[in-house]
Parts: sequence; structure tokens; C-alpha cells
Amino acid sequence: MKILVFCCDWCSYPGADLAGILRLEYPSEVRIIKVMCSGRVDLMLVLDALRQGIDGVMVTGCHPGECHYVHGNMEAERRIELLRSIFERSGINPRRVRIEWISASEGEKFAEVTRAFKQEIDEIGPINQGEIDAAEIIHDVFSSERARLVLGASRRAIELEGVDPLWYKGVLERTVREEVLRERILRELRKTGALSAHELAERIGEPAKEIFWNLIAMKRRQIILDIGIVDDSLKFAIQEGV
Amino acid sequence: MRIGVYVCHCGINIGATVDVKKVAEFASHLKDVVISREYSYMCSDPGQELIKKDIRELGLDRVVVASCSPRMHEPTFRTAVAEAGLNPYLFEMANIREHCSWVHDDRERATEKAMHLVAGSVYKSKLLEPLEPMQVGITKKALVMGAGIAGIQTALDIADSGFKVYLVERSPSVGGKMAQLDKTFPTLDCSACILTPKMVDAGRHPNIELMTYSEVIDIDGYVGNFRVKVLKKPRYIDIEKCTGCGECASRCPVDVPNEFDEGIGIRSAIYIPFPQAVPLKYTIDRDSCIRCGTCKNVCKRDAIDYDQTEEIVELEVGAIVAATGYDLMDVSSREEYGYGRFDNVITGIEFERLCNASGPTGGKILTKDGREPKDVIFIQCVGSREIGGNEYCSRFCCMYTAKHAHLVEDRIEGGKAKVLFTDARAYGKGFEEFYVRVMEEGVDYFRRDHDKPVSVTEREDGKLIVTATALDGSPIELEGDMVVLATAATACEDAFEVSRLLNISRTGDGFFMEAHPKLRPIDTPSDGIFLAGCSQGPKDIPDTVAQASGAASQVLNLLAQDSTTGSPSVSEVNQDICIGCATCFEVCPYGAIEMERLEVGWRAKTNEVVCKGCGICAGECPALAINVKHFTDEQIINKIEGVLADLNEVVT
Repeated sequence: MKILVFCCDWCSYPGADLAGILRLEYPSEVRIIKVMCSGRVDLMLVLDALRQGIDGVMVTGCHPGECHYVHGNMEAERRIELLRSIFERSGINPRRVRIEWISASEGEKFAEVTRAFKQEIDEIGPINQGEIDAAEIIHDVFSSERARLVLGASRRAIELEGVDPLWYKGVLERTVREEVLRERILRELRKTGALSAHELAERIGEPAKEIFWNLIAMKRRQIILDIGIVDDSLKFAIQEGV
Repeated sequence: MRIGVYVCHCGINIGATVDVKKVAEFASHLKDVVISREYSYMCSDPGQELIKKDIRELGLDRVVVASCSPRMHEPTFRTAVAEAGLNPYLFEMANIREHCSWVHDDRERATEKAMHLVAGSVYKSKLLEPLEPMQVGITKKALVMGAGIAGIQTALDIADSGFKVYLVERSPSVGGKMAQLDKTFPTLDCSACILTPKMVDAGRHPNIELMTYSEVIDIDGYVGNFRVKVLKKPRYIDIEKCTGCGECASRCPVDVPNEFDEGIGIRSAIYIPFPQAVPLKYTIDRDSCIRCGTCKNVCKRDAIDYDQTEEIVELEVGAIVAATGYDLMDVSSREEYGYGRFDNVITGIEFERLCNASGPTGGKILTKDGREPKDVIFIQCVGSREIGGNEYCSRFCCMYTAKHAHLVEDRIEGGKAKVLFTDARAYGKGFEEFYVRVMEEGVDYFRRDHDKPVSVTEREDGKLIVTATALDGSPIELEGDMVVLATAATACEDAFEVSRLLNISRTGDGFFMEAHPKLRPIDTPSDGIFLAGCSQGPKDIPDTVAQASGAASQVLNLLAQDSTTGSPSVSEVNQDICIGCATCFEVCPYGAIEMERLEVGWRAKTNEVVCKGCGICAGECPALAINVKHFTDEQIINKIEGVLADLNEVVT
């Protein structure tokens, strides 16, 4: 069992220190990584941990409205919520990631939430290979520009431009889902060379129609190219240099 | 690369749970580790010397210390490393005390975790880069929160040294709890007589800006550069015009209980809490005010202003002292004591108001129906030293009870004091002598078993009966006209909110936590924030004053400098891969990102002086072009790999 807890320098890290000072026992599987702010926790880091086989990742920060860096904790929450909703559709148990608010004076809470998290991970069991593979794909998605751009622009859209947050959330989730599918398509193409939408559908287990739509989009972005019709189907291959 | 690893026993703090030898042995096999040592106290001089010697003789270029929280000793070791000529940012710490030995019992698992934490720090250390600390200026002003004796003393000491102090107090007058007291033990000095001159000094000191009836609502920034928001509540009085003549209060038709007199005395809706109040300016309590307009009509100076509203003032200070004091436990929830049910069961602080010459009875000890009580029973340790309740000793009740008992014998003709105590703690200078003197004056002390219940009942004739159990198991029954409860001193009701405001911790008893219980009792783990008085724990007046002067000295240490070093751990934009999307610009809470127009297009750039190093931009950057120095993606990933690595695999 491996559990990673990101702690911010101002609230949850001293909160964890306080748990020590008060000698509050919590599971020894917990490994703490200090960052200055929970807002520093890039989803890539969380996903990197999961693909390394870590069973649970908890991000902890200051209570809402009390972030030392004004709104870093809210950015962290937005990201973790997105990740959980992506996990739900990607075969990763969303309960493997969570976010908690722990102030510097809440040593007891630190011990409580780590105990509870350990129990939750015990219930859902160790991370399996399928989840690790999925985390690998989502990691690559969150290392690429498109998903990050849509995620990064959400603050401006919602707070400055007054865009409906629910609508934006939909766009964001759809974008990430598409990117996950495209990443899986790329992997198949890398393995096999040229494939049609139907052939990809068989390997990936998603509807051919949806795959074809994404193939067109990928072609437009010059990630792949079509190599013409073979056996009645349009086949695609990876663009050189991608 | 040449890494040195030092594992600390911290006496038995780490050594009792973690096999330190084994951890050091493990570290010695990690790649690039050239020396791995264990030592009883790494933070001690010989411990630091060990590191410095190795840096010089073995040519170490990275140092990892596995010991306590970096909040405790990271500065110590950084300094040591720098003294040996190594850049202080090439040092990394593993917290194997607060995050390991203190929270795990199983020796094997704790040892394994300690190895992981060391491995994580060694891995991260490999990617560390030398950084140069930035110099940041210090605002040469201080904020003192709370103007009881602690806050007043702190403010006066700082102000006397020539620095500006904002002294913020939530009630209409300075003075705090000490202003409510009558005599002070063990010397029986009149509390007001020794306090009032200090209150007046604080009120007219040219370097002190008194902000009464005000509350700190927001604190931002860091050591040397705090930004503070203070809410000034409306007094509905122009304090520039008010002379404190009191004409308004004498004509105001409203009578309500005076909080300062613990509700025993009475004040008007327009009031000063007590005659010696500083500033001597009236306040209208709009919750009780009936809007009759009399005060406005009678005020010769035209000082009444019903239209006043709340005002928020922004201050910039370099240091903050929390002198926010304490509360007394609400004993009405403890039915066995009969408080609230029987008129003549009162608390110690209420008794103080009765004794006080400027109190509601003019210093006469009287029951609620105006008679002089002959037999007064004092019950000690009410709510203190209770397993499952307030487990601590409130420290000043033994002595004030002795003082109260003395006053009963002294002021009431034929008066008799009986004290029901658990242990008489007379630890301070002159305390034991005073305690003996009071007993010799004829006060009877009855020792009770603190674990056995106490009960207060009222007989039909109005006499109060107190029953308890002696240590030998025999019953104690005392009869009296008045019962005085020495209730526990507790952390302020809003101590939690204040601790959040200051970003500091509280100990299990609810009081503010010091940086170290022995050696840094005035500092907090947050640089630039200090503690004075009972906010840190119950203490008597001399201890409070001593700590207050100590806090002032800590503040002066800071304000005497022209600059302090700011962290060089700031964000950095790689403009070669930046796509100019301005996401970082949008998310930065400090406006530390500047967009600049280059030939290739717009590019982001960090203003290092403004940047606080939170890393929100790095977590959000679509192009992965931003990193935070000392917390780079690669460093964090390396640390994660280390803390979760297969222990057998990582040793070569």
C-alpha cells in the first residue's frame, strides 16, 4: 500500500507537524511531499504518482478563503474535481484521489483524514494494471497542450468573461475525454502502423463513429495523416515527426 | 555528485521508534552518497560541526539531514552548510520525527518509512540547484493585537525604542482582564493603581497608534512585510470632539448590565466601561440604544454622530504580536456547582468586581440581596485539571483564591473564608509566604479528592451547602452565605479564528502554540509573529509582563534590521517554450507575471521580487514552460520516486 499526501507549506504541512507533536498515530504508509501551495500540484504530478503504482494521492491545503496564496487551494480543488470526473469514465477508481483542507492548527484532522483515506484505499484495494495504464494515458494527456489550455483558461472564462461554469466544465471534461481517446488511438497506431476507424474500434472498445470523428480532428491538427482507402476503409497513420 | 547523509536520533525522540543506525547504513548504500552518519543531536554544535567538516574534507556538494520538521531546523542547517562554503539551497531535509517517529509505534514500519523519506530527500537533492536569497526590506512598524497588560507592555517597549506600533483592541478601552481586578497577589498592590499609568502611557505615547473598538480581520504577507486590515467599529462618537465629560451617560435613560462588571454593575447605552478607561471616549451600544436622541441634545461638543459606519483601515507592518488573552470557562453548564441556579454562587472574576473600589458595590462584598456574607466558601480547580476536560492547571487561581480569602477576613466584620482545594500551588516568588500568611490569618483550607464529585445546594433558609470528599474518603460538608468558584482559564472563544488569521497552530488545550516549548516560548513557527501573555497559556501578571517584554525584544530584533532575506524559490518561465497564452498572468494572485512582447510574440516573465513562490502558475501552465525554483517538477517527481521506491532496489 502506497499513499502520497501533498502538503502545503502554510497549513497542512504544519498541521501534519502538529499531529506529530500531539503524537497522533496515523498509517505509516503515508508519505508526505511538501509544496509551497496546493495550487502548485500539477495534475501531471498526481498522475505521475499513480502511474508509478501509488494507490492513493491526497492533496491537502488551507481551508477555502484562507489560502496563503489567496486562491491556490481553489485551483487545486478545480483540478482534482476534474480528475475525479475523468477517472470515472476511464476505469480508474476516482476515490484514489481526494482533496482535503487542513489548517496549521488541525493536527487531529490531519491524522483523521489520513486514517480515513488509508481505510478507503484498503476498501478499494491496490491499484491494478488497468488503472496504471489508464493513468499513463491521462498523464500524457495532461502533459499536452490542448487539455492544459482548456483547463488553464477556465479561470479567465468564468471569472472575467462570465461564462457559465457548468457549461465550461462540460467543455473541459469533453476535451479531456477526447484527448484520452486520441492518446489511445495514437498508441494503437504506433504499435500497428496504419489502421481504420473500425479496426481501431475493435482494439479500443469504443464506437467506430466516435473514433472516426477524432481521427478527422487529429488529421486537422496534423498529428496523423490518412493514407487512403484500403479494403473499403480510410486508414490513418502517424504523421512523421509527431 | 557527492552527497552526505546525516540521520539524527534526537535523543530518544527519533531513536526510540526508528532504528537510526539501520537508516544511516541504508543511506550509505544509495547511489552518490559518499558518507552517511548518525548522531544523537544533529542540531547541536558538534552535530553541525560534523557536517561542516565533511563538506570541507570530503568535498560534499549535497547535504541531506534526516531529523525534525524543516520548520524547526531547516534554517539552522542551511546556515551550517553555508558556513562550510556550500550553497544553502543544496541542502535537503527529511522529516523523520513529526512525520514518522512521533506518529508511528511499530519500529519496523517506522524504520522502513524513515528509509523511504531519506531516499526521497537524497533523490531530490541530486536535482537541487544553488540559489541566492533575495534581500527584502522591512516595514519598521509593529502590530500588537490585544491591549491587556501583555499588549500594553509590548507596545510600550517597542514604542520606547523608537518604532511605530499599532495597538489594536476590540473593546472600547485598553486594560483587559487586569483592569477588572482589585488587589494583586502576593503583594496586595491595587491592580488599577499599577495598571492605569501604563494605560495612560500607551494612550498618549507618540509612537503608539491606539485603535480601540477595532478588530484585525485580515493578515496577508510575510515577515517584514505584513499587510493588515483592521475593522474599526462605529462608536457613534467623534472621538476628536468627545472630552469624556460623561454628561451624556448621566442623562441616557437606558440601564443595561455592564459587561466590564461581569453583569453585576449597570451602564447606560452610551458608556465608558470603567472610570479609568483609555481612551476616555464614550461609545454608543446601538443594540440597547432606544434612539431617543438625548445624548446628542446634551453634548456640548457636538460629538455624537449616529451616522458613523464601519471603517476598514489597511496597515503595513513588519512584525505582529498576538496578545489576545484568555477567557474564563462558562460554568453554568456544570450543574453540580449551582452557578446560575443559586444567586450567591459567583465566579472569581465576579468576586473581583465586588471587591473593587470602583466596582458596582464600591468595594463592598455583598450578596445579591445586598447583605454582607459571613461565611464565604471558595471552590478551586473548577474545570481545571480534569481528565477529559481542561487537563491543564490554570496557574493563577490558587493564589487569587488565597487573596480573596484574605479579603473576606480583612473586609467583612466576623467574616470567615473556607477554601475547598485540591493542591495549593504556590510556586512563584513570595507565593508560599503569602499562602502561609493567609492560613495564619485564620482561613480554613479543606483538601478534597479532585476525582470525586462536588455539589452545591441551597437550603430553605438560603444557606449554601457544599459537599465534597476528603482524600481519606470521609465526607466534607461546608455551609456558607456565598460560594466563589475558581473557574478555569480557557483559550479565547475565537482563538481558532485568530490562529487561522495569523497562520499559527494551537496546542491541544486551545492556546496558541509557541515555536518551541522550552527554547522559543515567544516565537511562533510563522516568522515575524510572536506571542505574549495568556494567549499562549494561563500565566500570572509578572510572567505575562516578562513575556510581553520578551516579545517586544523579538520584534525589535527584527525591526532593527534594514532587510531580511526573501526566499529565492520563485517561479521561472522558459520563454523558449512559452506560448504566450497568459494563463499564468490570469491565475497569479500577486500580479507577479508580466507579459512582454518579443519578436516571436507575447511571452510571460516572472517578476521575482513580487513572486511568492506558490507555484499556481506552474501547476496551470498549458505549455509546461513554468517551473518553481527548489520545487521543480523534476525535483518533486524524484522525491516521489524516492519515498515510494523499492528499498532493496535503490541500494547499489
